[in-house]
Amino acid sequence: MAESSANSHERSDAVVTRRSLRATALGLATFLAIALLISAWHRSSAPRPPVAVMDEKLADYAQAAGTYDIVFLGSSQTFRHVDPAVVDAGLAQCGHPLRSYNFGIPALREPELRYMAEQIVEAPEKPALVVVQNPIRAETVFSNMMSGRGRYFRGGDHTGAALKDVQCYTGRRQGQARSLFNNLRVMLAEAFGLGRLAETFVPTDPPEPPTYNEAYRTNAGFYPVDQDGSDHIVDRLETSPMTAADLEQGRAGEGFVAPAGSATCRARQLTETLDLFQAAGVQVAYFVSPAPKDLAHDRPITAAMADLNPDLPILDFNTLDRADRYFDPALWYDAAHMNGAGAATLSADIAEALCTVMDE
Amino acid sequence: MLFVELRFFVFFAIVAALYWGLRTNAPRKVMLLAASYVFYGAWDIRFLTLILFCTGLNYLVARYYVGPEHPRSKLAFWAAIWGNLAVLGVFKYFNFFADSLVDLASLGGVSLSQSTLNIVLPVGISFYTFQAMSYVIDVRRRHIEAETSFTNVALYIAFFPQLVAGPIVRAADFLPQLKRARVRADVAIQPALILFLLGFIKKACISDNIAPFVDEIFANPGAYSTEAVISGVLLYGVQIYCDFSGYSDMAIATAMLLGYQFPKNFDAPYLSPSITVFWRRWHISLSSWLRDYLYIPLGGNRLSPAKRDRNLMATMVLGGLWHGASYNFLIWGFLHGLALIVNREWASRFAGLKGRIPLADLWGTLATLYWVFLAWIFFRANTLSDAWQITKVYVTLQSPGTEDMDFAAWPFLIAFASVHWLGHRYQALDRAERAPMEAFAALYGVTAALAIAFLPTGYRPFVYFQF
Repeated sequence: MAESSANSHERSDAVVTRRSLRATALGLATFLAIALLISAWHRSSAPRPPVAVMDEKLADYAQAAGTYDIVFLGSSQTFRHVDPAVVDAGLAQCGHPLRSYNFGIPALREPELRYMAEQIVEAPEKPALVVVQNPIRAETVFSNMMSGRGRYFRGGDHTGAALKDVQCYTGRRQGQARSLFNNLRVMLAEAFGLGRLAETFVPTDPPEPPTYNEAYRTNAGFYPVDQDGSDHIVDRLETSPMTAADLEQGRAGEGFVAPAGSATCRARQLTETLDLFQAAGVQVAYFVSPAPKDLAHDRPITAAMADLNPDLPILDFNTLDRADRYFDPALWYDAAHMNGAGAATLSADIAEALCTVMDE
Repeated sequence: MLFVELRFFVFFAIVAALYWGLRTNAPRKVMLLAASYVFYGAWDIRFLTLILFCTGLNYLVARYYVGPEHPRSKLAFWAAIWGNLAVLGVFKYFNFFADSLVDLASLGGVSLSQSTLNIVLPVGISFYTFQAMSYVIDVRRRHIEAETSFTNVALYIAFFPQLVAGPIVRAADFLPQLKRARVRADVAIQPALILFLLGFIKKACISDNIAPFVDEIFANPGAYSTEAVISGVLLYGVQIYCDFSGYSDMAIATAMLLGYQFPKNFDAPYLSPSITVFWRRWHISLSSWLRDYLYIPLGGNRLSPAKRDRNLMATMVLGGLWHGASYNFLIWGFLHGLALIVNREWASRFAGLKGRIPLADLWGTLATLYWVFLAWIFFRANTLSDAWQITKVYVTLQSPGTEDMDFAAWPFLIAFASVHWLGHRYQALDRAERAPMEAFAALYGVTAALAIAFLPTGYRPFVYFQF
């Protein structure tokens, strides 16, 4: 009798446990279904959040459809270092009267680079040549990544590029871990529609994104950083100045070296973007901007690009033999950006290099 | 670490797994204590020294000195009380009193040099010092035995669900729960999960979403129209209720999931038909603490009406000051003290009138709400002059400003009031608790997903952390 009662209790416990597990699974499933639904609805109904400089340049470029033969696509180093007027003058001198446009976007990351590439390829009038720069490593300031821009470029349709960006991180392990953690959090936030109903039904003013001097809009996308005058640009003089030690490090070719595996991964990822252009009949070139602190880091990536794309023209200006020319304090504004004089020097050299490419 | 942050969920999942994984009581308590210190240290590791000092002082005094057999029992008791008050005084009130002294002296023509200390206010200091004091007082009154286990006293003071913003738990309620291992089968999981989600929604989805609009109004009240200012005041009433009761709900639910029971801290206070009832339903753990450890020892209701009113006023003004060192909180306490005195007079003189006034409870509720929201102006305003400016608009319904609030406040307030009333009237939570497991789970999943979608992406700290 007692044994039968104990058995009955055990059976009853097992039923309760099974029921609890089933209920938990049901709860999780409904949670996921609703969260994903909200996220999908928001992405399909809300416009892309504004991205400073990118939006303006896309609009200007579309308006000037067919005007430009060469497009420089990259991060703020492209934005601040490539002066199309100087490049065009240099090209004209060597018998190539072409017009170029600076499509540099501050803090451009891999998913955004892919997005930009798609925009350029899908435009009815395509340039003859696109010069692509390696975008910055996707990392680390979480609040930036949680901004509208960060969230948009880590959701749904861009998840592949974001994951690839994490996988091909070329910095230190600590940065890679942070990048992985932050990207996963942002992707989860986007997948779960975090805050999307609040934004729709209780909209508050989002934090002001940084603004830039818009003089670049009448200057083929370029404006020297030292003449910008925006508060956050002026602040960089204090928060991240170019130091003598940084320049010395560049001249010595010292610093963190991107691991071979990551460099190859990044090169493959960049090649995929270049293939997009080539498939649309657009010629491509790879551009490496001078950056004393990243010279050692950049070399393996450039080498991997050359290995993967033997015929790819590579405009590499971050090399030891050019260090004396570029790593001069008079040419730099902050730790990562050359001033107007630096941009003029580099742009003339870019024109010369492009002349060689064109002639070949 | 906030209850609405992802890292808290990770923290709690680890703590709960470890806790229920341990079979006996002693290691569980040690683990909970360590987790509580990690939780508190996540704000600022330096705060731990203060809580350890507070714990050590009260444990030692209660254990070894506060007993009828000890010759210096009274002295030790008062040393502990003054020790706790000194901690509060230095960390919370020093600058306020120093500034007030300088102002007072300058009024009398004496110039004193301004000397303020750059002191960081430790999170939750008012809560845990009050808990610590109640422990020593209860031992002295022989309501409870002095605890022999240091771990028990330390856990009573530092238990992470209630550590930083209450509810203020009494030793007599909590220490007995530490005597035996909690049983997992006894945990009411469904009610705890509902309570946590409800608190989460109140705090993260309601309070945090309306906070920016309230902040705008209180930052520049002169610029806004009458309707906007009134909306701002009412929205603040909703914000602070959702913020604080939401935190309490989550604290109570978190403790429940570990097998511990905390007292209720809020009971639909905005539906109270009088200010007296309001104080039985708002921040119950603080109001009952003030009643038991301040108002009654001062003489309570046993003295003449004048002295009783004086005690009531003193209790409420000190209650105001407990929230923070500023004249705004003092006035807030005074307004509530005044209302309680008036309410008591009214109740004694016009007791027979109640049955003859149609909808007496509704009028009482509206009058109570009017006064409570008026007092909130002083609680929230950035400066005393702002508070006067907003009060003038609230009372006269005339504002010099013209700007409107960029938020549909009235539909929101009506919806909030309706849900609040209906939920209370029909005991919605009790019904949800009784729902079949599968229906409950599905509904919970849907509600949690909606809650996350309504979560503003920038976290805001709980209002009551500053106290």
